[in-house]
Amino acid sequence: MIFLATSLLYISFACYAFGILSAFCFSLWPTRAILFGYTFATIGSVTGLAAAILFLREPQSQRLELFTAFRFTNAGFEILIDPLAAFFLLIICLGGSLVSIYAIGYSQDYIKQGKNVSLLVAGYNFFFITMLAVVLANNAFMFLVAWELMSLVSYFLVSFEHEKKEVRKAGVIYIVTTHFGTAFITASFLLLFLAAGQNLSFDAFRAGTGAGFSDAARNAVFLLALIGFGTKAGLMPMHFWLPRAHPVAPSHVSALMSGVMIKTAIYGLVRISFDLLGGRTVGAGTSSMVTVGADAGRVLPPSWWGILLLIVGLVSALLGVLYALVEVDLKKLLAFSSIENMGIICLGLGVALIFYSLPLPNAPALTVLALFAAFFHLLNHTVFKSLLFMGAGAVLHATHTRNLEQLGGLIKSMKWTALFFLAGCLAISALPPFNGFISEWLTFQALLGLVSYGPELWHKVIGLLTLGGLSLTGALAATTFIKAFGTGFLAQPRSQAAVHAHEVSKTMRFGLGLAAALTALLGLGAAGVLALLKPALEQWTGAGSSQAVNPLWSLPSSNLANSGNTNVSGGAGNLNLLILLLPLVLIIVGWGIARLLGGKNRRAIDETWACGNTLKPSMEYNSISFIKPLRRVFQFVLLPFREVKITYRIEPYFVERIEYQSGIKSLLNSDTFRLARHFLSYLNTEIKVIQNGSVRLYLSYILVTLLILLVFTR
Amino acid sequence: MDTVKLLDFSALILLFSTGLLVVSRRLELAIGLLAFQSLVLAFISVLVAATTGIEHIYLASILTVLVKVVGATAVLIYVLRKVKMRRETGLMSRGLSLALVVGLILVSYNTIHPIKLANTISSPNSLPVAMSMVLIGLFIMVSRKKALMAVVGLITIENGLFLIALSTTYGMPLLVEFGIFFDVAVGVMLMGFFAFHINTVFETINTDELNRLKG
Amino acid sequence: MPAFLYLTLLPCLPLAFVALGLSRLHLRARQSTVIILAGTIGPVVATVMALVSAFNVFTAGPVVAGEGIFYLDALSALMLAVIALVSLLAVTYSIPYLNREMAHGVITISKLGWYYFWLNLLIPAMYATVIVNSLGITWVLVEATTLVSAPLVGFYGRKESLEATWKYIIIAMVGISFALLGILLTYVASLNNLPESGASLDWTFLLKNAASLDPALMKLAFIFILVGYGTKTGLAPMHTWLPDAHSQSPSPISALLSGALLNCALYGILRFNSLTKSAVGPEFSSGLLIIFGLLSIAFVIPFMIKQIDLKRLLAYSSVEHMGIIVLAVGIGGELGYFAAALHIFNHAIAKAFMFCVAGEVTERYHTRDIRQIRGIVHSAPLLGTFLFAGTLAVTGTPPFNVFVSEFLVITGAFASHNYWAAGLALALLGVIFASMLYHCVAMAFGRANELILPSDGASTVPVHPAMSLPDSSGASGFNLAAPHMPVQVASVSALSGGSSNEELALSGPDASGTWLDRAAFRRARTGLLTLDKPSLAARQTRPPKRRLAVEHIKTKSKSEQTNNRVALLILVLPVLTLLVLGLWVPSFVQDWANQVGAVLR
Repeated sequence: MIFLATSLLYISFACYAFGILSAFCFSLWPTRAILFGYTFATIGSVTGLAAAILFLREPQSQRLELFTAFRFTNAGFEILIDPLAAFFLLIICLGGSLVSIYAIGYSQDYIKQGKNVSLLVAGYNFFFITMLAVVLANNAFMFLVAWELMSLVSYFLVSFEHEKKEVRKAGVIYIVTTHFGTAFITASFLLLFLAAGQNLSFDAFRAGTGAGFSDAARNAVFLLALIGFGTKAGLMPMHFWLPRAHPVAPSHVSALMSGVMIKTAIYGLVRISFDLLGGRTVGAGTSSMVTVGADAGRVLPPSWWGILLLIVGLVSALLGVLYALVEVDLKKLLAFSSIENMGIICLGLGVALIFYSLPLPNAPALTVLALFAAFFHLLNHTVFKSLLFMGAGAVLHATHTRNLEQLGGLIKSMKWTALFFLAGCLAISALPPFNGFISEWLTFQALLGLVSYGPELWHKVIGLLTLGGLSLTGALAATTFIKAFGTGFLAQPRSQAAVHAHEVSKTMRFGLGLAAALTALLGLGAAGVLALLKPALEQWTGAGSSQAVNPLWSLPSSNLANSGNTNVSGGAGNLNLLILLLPLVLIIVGWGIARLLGGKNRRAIDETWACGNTLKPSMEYNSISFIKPLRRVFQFVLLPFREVKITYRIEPYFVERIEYQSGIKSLLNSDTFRLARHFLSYLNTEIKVIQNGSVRLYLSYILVTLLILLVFTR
Repeated sequence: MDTVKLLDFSALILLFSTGLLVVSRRLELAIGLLAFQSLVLAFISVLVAATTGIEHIYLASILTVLVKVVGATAVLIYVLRKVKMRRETGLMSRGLSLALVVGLILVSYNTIHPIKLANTISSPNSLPVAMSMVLIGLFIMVSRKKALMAVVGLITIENGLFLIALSTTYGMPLLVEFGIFFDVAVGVMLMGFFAFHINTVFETINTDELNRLKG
Repeated sequence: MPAFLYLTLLPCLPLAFVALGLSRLHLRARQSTVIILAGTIGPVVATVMALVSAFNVFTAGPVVAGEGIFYLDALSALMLAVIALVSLLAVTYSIPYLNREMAHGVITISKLGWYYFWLNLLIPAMYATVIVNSLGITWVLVEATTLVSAPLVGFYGRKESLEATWKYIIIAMVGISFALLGILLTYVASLNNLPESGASLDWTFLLKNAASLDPALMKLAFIFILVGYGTKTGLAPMHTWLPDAHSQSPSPISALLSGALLNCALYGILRFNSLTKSAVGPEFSSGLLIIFGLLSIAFVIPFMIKQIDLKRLLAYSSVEHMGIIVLAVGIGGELGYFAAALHIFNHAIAKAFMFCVAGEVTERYHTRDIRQIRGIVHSAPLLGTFLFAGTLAVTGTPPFNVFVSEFLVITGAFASHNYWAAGLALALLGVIFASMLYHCVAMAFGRANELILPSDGASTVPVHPAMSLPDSSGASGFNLAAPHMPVQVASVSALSGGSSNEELALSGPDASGTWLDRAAFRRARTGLLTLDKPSLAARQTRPPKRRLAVEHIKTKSKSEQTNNRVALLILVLPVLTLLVLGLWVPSFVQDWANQVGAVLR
């Protein structure tokens, strides 16, 4: 079984490599390059998916040493496939399987524009290779090389349409921000390197972060990793590259970046906080470290880590969804929604980390519950965010605009796209029977667990506040996607572009449909997902601790009071299905009754009263008007601006023209930031006087340096 | 007068002439002072050679006379004639320059003070004077605008170095000495050539005009 | 055999005069070819000899030859290898470069002769610097390299070249004089404390007896050496000649200067560092080196952020990398020295490559001004790729080799518990990455024929309207026009999209066509629609930037095309080296770097 899994993994890598090769071989025949390149990517993703599933069924970790780069720091290329890595392998390849077929249809557009698509295809395949290398790495050097390569490739993919200034700017902001994030990650790894006795291998890290590792260093590692990985994941306040970069990338790349790449940051975070800082040595601990009986030898993290993660997650979720709410650019809306969902994932992780750090008897079960919530939400987000971005890409392809204010009526011209997009909207709004519902439910359950079982008062308080925040987020998310779907697809087309929309090609529809089907499947088969993810969840809390978790009932309180008492199992699967389908059944029954009792449909066609004007579709209720009340409610956060400028023919009675402008200023363009930028620019110009061209001034520098050294270093 | 006192006296004369160099305004005077400096230096080297009996110092003194007294002066006067410049204006006030020079001399004395040397001719002033000449040479280069004065400053620095060599180690290994002199000679020629070229192209040897390359 | 081998490193010298002489003759045909040939043979043979010698030293150990005149150990071998490879790249790249310069009429045959004359004097001087035993002779040779490279810096004879040369000569000679003072003081210490020997300034002798040198004297000596040789190495704040000299010289010479000449002066600092550490104790020199290293890295940031000259940008980058090397040596430890050795090599190759790429860019666009160069990936895709590769390499990004050595420097800093130095270095390197990438993207991406309008608020508008997908984000705005007035379209879709929810006026269904309807845009421009956004106001207060359209010269003469292709071909091998060394550092290379590290200790 292991052999099969590793072979499939090799085949997967080989397929991606063939994808790159074929892209370059066929660079003069773009259609073929697209076909071959993306087909190889699909095959690679599917085999990788199979490999991941097989690896998850075999909970023993697999190690592989490729080669050592530098002996004395043990910087090398080692691979470790443990359940966590297998899970993220699953995520990556799932994203690839969903998006690659869609990409075939989507990239055809670029051929007409005369762009070099083989670079796009090659970059796409290489992107997968680097992401796989990141999650499989067992050595800090390999991780960092793969991480930076991943950032670099994604930068080039984002900048594919670099003729536009906006794209260039977004790309540069992206790669510079991510580079700084990598600096933080490097610092974090190097502190671990010191603890591990100057060894860069993750195994050495695990061994070295036992009881002997100082508290201050441990906290420093976690904080640096949080900042570094948080930058890549899009957590606030390091998120500002995301809403710029994801909209301007080609849509299948956006789908991958939102759906898969930012998840690798979560992988890094989990890897460091649970795994590398876990330590495996037994010994006398410092004050905050206590060893738990059933899991002797594990060093507990301080619980404020979990709290911090929780707070960061909450802030990201709330602010993300607020900005998504008022956003008019469809892809930017989805980008902010990604930030929100990353926040929710971090909520789950935070709770898991809190429980991981508490020496309670039922802590393992609760940790597993929270981890399942986080991981399942991660999985779901991959699926429905890819679906949504693919849908947005389809809309972009058909109408050449991302602006919701110009769309509308697409449900008539793009039936299938609308249907699949609707599935995505429902999933992300956490409505049954789709998958988003299950994972948000589980997150709620995890928070409730924090409130119920958290030993300190402030655990409970924070849990309650977070519960409120999460509910608000959920509601706002639903509103956002009602707005998105309603404004984008329903009613009449608001512009010529929307009028001339057409349905997208078969490959794109197939990709969309696959993702939509998967959202439903994952929702209905949550128990199966739990069974699949069990090894990854139990990796740090010991085997068997997930027995008490059931996807739907989740908190069997009588069971968690004493660990080891396991009687609720997946045998209640049938019941789950029934509960999930209940709303659907009710809807169908209700509709049936309405039809029967309501009689025939009566239609009256008449003119709508429009105050004497002719009605135009642009007068429709659009996204801003839909959102306006909420925007007002949250204006202390969103800080909207509005400007009205009236031009008179004869003041003040005859108006020639009124201009109305309103919007949200992003924080980076706010006045304070602009002031700061101008100030820095001014400083820069002043400093450059140092090199003003006067050779005497240059010589005086030498003189002064010499004098300082002579006087002060004796 | 025994050698030590003579050497001391010569060193102080050197310092004095360097100080005059700092405050001189006329370029011809500066070049003349430089020649004088080099001559005194040659005298000192002859003295050292006579006292210690090391032959190659005679060679060094002859080279000094040739290269610095005769050669450098010739090059500088030639360029001066071609450039037709006489005075230099717009500089730091004489008082301020002298004050800074005194500061530099103090720094040099402070630097040399903790160093105990065995092998010298025990002239207590020659080493600090030499170090001051080096720093003052750099100061001349900083405070003067004309390109020719930059060359003068550079030669002052070289003279200071030569004095250090004389008073501590009786010169460097011969090959190194040759190399140094050769480099100085070529350097002075090159700088003279470029100063002339600058005057042709920029129509001034005021180095403050050379400020197109900024930032 | 060995002594003879090393003396044959200097076959260039007579060929220098041959090249000059040839330029004076009036051969009818192919005179330039003959001169180029004569001028190139010497350095190429010297490269081969140097590489063989370096290999010999790495495998067989240090070599003393010529009765103690020559001494080669691992550090010398590293420097030999660096000078060899960089000079090979420089002279091979000179061929297409000078061909095109002659075709454009920028230089004459006689100038060509002088070029190869000075080049063939410079290269043996550089080689000789690193293989002689006596530190005094090393100094003489370093001074000689300064004098010989000055005419090369001022090669073009423009006003700026002259200015650069003057500053180079003055500042470098001042620095060198101070280095001489340092050597003199070392000589004093050697004579005073060590037994009398004819080899008092010899490296072998000094190293053996370094512990008995007077600490006070050595401290003073090291200060002068650091300031003196540091001037020629390009450490801040003595680096001020570097941006001028390296930007005004011809690109192959810049490559040579940045890649090889800076390392020759660095060699001096490294030798004295070892001596001072034995004589005084490690903290003094390490502390000074760390300070100068960090200062060099930090100093260049304001100049790189707002830089308009491509080659000045690269020159500042050289200063930064010299700072990194010096920082690595200051940090010390097994890792620090290994990283320093590796970085010396990696930086030299990367920087030489990047200067040659910059030379290509300036040859094609006839300007060094970053603001006027756009869209290289469209007009010259391979060159654009090389530009990106070079920028990424020089800023220390995987998969290139400079990342490996920079990572090891940071690791070494952590390993010797210099946390603040490491953190500071990481932050500064990040800022430098940002600024260099920004400039690279500005040059490489975009449209080749982008027309940049004078400012009236609109910035870049692509000339071809069909393809761009409008980025209208966010706001709602609508025009309530009085009846019977046509609805105006304000299609300012290409405004730099910074703020989300930027204003954007809607067009009613009557408005014609796509967003980038040119007529609509023209109407909008004529001021019917004034946008009082604050950012717009700020943009209007800036002076109008009149930039020229960059025309891609489609019709090039056949010889120019050939030269372009040859140049790109020459650049393929270096970039592959950068890539390969980044992914895999062979174990024998690691051994050699370890040997160098042992020497530096």
